[in-house]
Amino acid sequence: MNNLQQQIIKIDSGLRISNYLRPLFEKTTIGKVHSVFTNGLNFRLNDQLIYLSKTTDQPLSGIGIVPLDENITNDLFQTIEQGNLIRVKPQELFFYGKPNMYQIKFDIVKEFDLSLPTLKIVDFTVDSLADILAQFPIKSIFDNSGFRNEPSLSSMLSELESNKKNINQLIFDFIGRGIGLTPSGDDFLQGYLVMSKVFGQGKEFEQNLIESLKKRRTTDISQAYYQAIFDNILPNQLWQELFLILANPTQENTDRLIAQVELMRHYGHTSGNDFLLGVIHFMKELHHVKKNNKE
Amino acid sequence: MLYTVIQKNNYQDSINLMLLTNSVNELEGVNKGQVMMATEANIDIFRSGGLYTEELETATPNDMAIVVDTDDEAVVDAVLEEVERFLKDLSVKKAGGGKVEVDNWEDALDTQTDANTVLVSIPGIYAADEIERAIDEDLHVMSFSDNVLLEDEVRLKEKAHEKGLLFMGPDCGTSIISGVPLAFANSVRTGNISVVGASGTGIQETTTVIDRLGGGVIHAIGTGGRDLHEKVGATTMLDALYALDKHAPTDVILVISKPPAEEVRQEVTKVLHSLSKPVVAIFSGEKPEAHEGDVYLAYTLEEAAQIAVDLANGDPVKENYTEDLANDVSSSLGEGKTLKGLYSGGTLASEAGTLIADALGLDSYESSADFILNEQGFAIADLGDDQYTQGRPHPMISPDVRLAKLQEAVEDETTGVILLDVVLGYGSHDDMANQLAKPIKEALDNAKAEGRELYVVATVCGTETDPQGYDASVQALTDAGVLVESTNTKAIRLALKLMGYDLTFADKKVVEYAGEKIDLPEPSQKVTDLLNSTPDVINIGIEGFVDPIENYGGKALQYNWRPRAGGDPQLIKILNAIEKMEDIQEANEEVTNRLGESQPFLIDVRPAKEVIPFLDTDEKIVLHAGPPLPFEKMTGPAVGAIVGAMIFEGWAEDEADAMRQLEAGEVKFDPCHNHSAVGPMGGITTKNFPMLVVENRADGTMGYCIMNEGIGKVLRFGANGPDVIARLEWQRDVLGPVLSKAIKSTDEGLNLNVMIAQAITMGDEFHQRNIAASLIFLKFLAPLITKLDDVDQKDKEDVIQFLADTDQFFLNVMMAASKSMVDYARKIEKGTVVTTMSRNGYEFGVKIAGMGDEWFKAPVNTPVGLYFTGFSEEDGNPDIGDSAITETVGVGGVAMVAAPGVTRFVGSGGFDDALNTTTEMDKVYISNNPTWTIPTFDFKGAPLGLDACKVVELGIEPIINTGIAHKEAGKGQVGAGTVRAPLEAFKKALIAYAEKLGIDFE
Repeated sequence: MNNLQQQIIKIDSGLRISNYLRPLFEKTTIGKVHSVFTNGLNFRLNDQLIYLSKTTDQPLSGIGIVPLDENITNDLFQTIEQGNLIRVKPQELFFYGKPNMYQIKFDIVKEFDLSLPTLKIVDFTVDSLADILAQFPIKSIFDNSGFRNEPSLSSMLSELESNKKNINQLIFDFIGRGIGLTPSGDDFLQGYLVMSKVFGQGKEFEQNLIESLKKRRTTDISQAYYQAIFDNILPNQLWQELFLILANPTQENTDRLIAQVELMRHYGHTSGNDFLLGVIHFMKELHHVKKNNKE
Repeated sequence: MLYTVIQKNNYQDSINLMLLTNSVNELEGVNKGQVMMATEANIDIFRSGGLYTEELETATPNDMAIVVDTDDEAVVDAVLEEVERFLKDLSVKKAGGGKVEVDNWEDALDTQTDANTVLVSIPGIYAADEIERAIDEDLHVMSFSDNVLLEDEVRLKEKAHEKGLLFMGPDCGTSIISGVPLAFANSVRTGNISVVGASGTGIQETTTVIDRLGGGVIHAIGTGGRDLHEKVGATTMLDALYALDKHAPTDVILVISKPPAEEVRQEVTKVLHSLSKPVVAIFSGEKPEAHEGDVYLAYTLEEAAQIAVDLANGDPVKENYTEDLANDVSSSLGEGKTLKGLYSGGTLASEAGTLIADALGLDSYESSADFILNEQGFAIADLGDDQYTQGRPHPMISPDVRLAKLQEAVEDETTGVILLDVVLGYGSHDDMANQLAKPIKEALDNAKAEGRELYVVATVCGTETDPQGYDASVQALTDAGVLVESTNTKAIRLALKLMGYDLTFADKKVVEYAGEKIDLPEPSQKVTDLLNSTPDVINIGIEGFVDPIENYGGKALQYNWRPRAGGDPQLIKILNAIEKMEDIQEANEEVTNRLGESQPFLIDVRPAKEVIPFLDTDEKIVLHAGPPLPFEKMTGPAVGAIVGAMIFEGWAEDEADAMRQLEAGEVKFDPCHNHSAVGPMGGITTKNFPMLVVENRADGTMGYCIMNEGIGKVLRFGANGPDVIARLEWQRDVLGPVLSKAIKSTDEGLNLNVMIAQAITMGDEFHQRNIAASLIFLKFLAPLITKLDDVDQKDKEDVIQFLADTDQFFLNVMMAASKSMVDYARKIEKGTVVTTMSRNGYEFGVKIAGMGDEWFKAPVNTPVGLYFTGFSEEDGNPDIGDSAITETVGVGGVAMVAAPGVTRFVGSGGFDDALNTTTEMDKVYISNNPTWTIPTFDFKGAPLGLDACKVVELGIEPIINTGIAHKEAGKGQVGAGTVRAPLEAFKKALIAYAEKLGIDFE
């Protein structure tokens, strides 16, 4: 009996984890693989969807975990299928695949606080808002977003931009609309939602969104991100840096803002740009309000 | 009238033959028929089925027997056509797979070098030996085979335990190892539950319910139904539990047991409570009232699965798992209605018996041969029981048994509810639901039209990823009007409800366990390794088990098993004993090595009387081929040759004179083999025949043979006319002396190994074809002959011309060489390597190393082949000659692949036939000759070291290429072909050797 085919493949790696998920890793729980992609996979634990990144260099998602030391092998992503069980223990992820099972042991767990920060509107002037908006390459963001090739989305965005409708009127239509596992319409709403919560605005918008999501379903993954934001968690680590820059609008930070926006744009296929369209729209609205108040 | 056809050596898998039997019985004109391997047990089945014929007694367990009851003899042809079509279809399917398959243990172990498990599914009477072999080879065993004796099970489980191995079974239909289904298992999601179960469908029901509840199973270890028998002592279950307790991916252990022996139950209970993981246990026949500590005691299979899933998810165990039924029943059937349970799964049927008895308030009930339970209008049958399946496929494989019972149930006007299961998964019928749906729908439609109340209630045991698909199966049944419930328990409850009984289950709380706990032993490393790897399986028996293993990431090798030694228990005992004798195996290797290291040199040609002292006398002595034979029994060619030799020697004037002397007993006979000599065909050799003299330089052993005379009318085939005598005289006076001088003009003689090694690459196999070797021989000799100073030029020319004309000249050189090889090798008087095969036209004789000079004989066969124009098989003489010495050293028919053209003698004659022949022969030889490598055999050497054990074990009779002599004296050669050495001679040799070794085989 030589060369037994080892069924349990062991991976030792530390882990980065969102503070949002930490409580779920404190006891043994059985979950199920929800979806598998080239660069990561989602699994459901109790009612929470969790994204496991494949490589160490991916930004930590609000509902995610990222290996700290070592990339996860391709083998796991080729073996694990939707519906496979996963056992979560305080320092272990165990995938029940066929023919192989994978045990990811993580002695080191680095927890990252992805809680939504708070910014005060009073700290921003009409000019500073205009300066900030000027750092966003709006046309390029639109052209690379999921809105570009989806007429209904671009049409709704036009209606918002031209003030023909306000966002509360279009929530229902944006939900679940567009391409991707996180549809562009959802990303847009989430970008807007994050901004409105950070600036302490839009209670009405959040409530409308919650109600609309009860009536109109979107993908499980978008749903999970919505819930995280409702629970005051950022979609991913990139947003933290954005808000640090916005909180301190110096010239030096203007350069950092440009770079950070560029980083955020590359998150996902079109998601980064879709998020940013939501951010931009919120900033435009804020600028508009400030300007009108000033006038 | 009964017609019997016996197909010799056509071994087929029993499941295939059951399906074939079904197919035969569907043919028009067949009253009934049966196709089975002719084992003793199967002959009993023929007898009990009214299909016994005397011809069956002539068949062996390796023969396929077909018995047909028909009023029209022509129907038999149709049956045989169907048999051929069916089996050909199987072989086409096999060929399409392109998979490696083996038919013996050595090849299996050589091919599947990392195998860790053997899956056995062969008739029970043979299973114990194969299981023991597997355990001896350090392999875990799963045995689907049943009918293994209890004492064998006890012994083998003990042996497996001592070696740290797991013996799952016998009669274990289902296992899942590392998510890989073995035998009749379902496609179940992998997860943190492991099952140890004593029953097949019990495991199937719980694992599939777990899957449908969202849970997963990593291992399901079948133990066999008697594991908790007092004599077995739960050996397999305990070894499995110890290992699962340390198995990291397992969080919950589910134990399914048949009614256990009380003391074994107590021991198992202690172990369950000593495990570090929560356990769900169901002991069939017990109705637990509470859970005990961390051991949750279930009453039904459904409940066991539900508790396991809750535990696996970290959820609290509920006090009651009763769920609503899927089908709403508003009223029950009227008085006098009965329920018929027609189950294919044994444990599912047992569960029905238990729950129905519970609902009826019975404290106990008796099972009979026909029914698990038959009380108060409730009759539950396990149609998979031997009672219903003897000679017929199991109802999980074929619907036939159940359809017949279904019809009976429908025809019974009292029947109100028919309860049945459909078991999906690997090994089961590929669409049982639809097979049952049509007749059920008809029955329900008819009942409705007649205003009769009739319900069919079913459960489907399976998962959506099973080959048959759970949803599709449920839909097919539902569409037919069947009331389908998701578990067997629910189906039983629904059936009871229709019959007016409401079965409820009381709440169960957890009470503290107050009994003893023990320190568990460390699990065996081998079992731990098994549970932490994907199985690598040698599958002995049902071929259909291979694909599921491979589809789920395991490895599997198909071992096309046939009963060892034709199923002869005495011979099997002998083989088992000899296999374990290391000194015999070493002796076999040594004898074989001696054959391989032989260095035959042709050193001279001398008159026989000079090299064989026995002939150097004034007595009339004739040496002959084969084992000793009195003149009265000699066949035509030998008699013809003896007459010719007597005329040649001047002992007789003519045939009449010779015959008178022979009949008067004036001539003595003795086998060539007794005098270091061999002779082709009649092998007739007298004192003045010129003999080829070969020395085996390994130790100086000598071998002699007369010279080849060409083909057609020659003495060795029994011709004795003047031309024949004149040629012999020329050989004596010219050819012999000239060759002698030429050979002796060299320093060391002619190195025959060199010639053989060259010629075998040029298309010779040295029995039927020697043209290349003869030309090489001429190449060496011609220059030597031309250089001889004291030989007349015409004689030189005549000799060279004769050698050039005689394609088979080298045959006799090869025979002398072979004789010098075997006589050198058999100086080691130990072991089972065959040192002689020879025939005298009456008997085939075999010698083996361990029995020295003793002959073991059996009647010869008559060659099959091609006949010269004007002759037919009618004219052929039975097999004769010492030339099988070539096959003894691994050439001739054995090396057919070296000379593919020769294959024309055995039938179609393609290259594949030649390759197949040598590949088959290779299986009964121990090694391969490193010097005589065959290009068309991928440069593998010619087979070397014929092992009588292998011949007997595999039932492969060595094939011999041969000329065919006319059966009448004086007519000579009439054809050429092949013949098989009779197995019986090898069996006799082995039995005699076993007696000599003191092996108890009675």
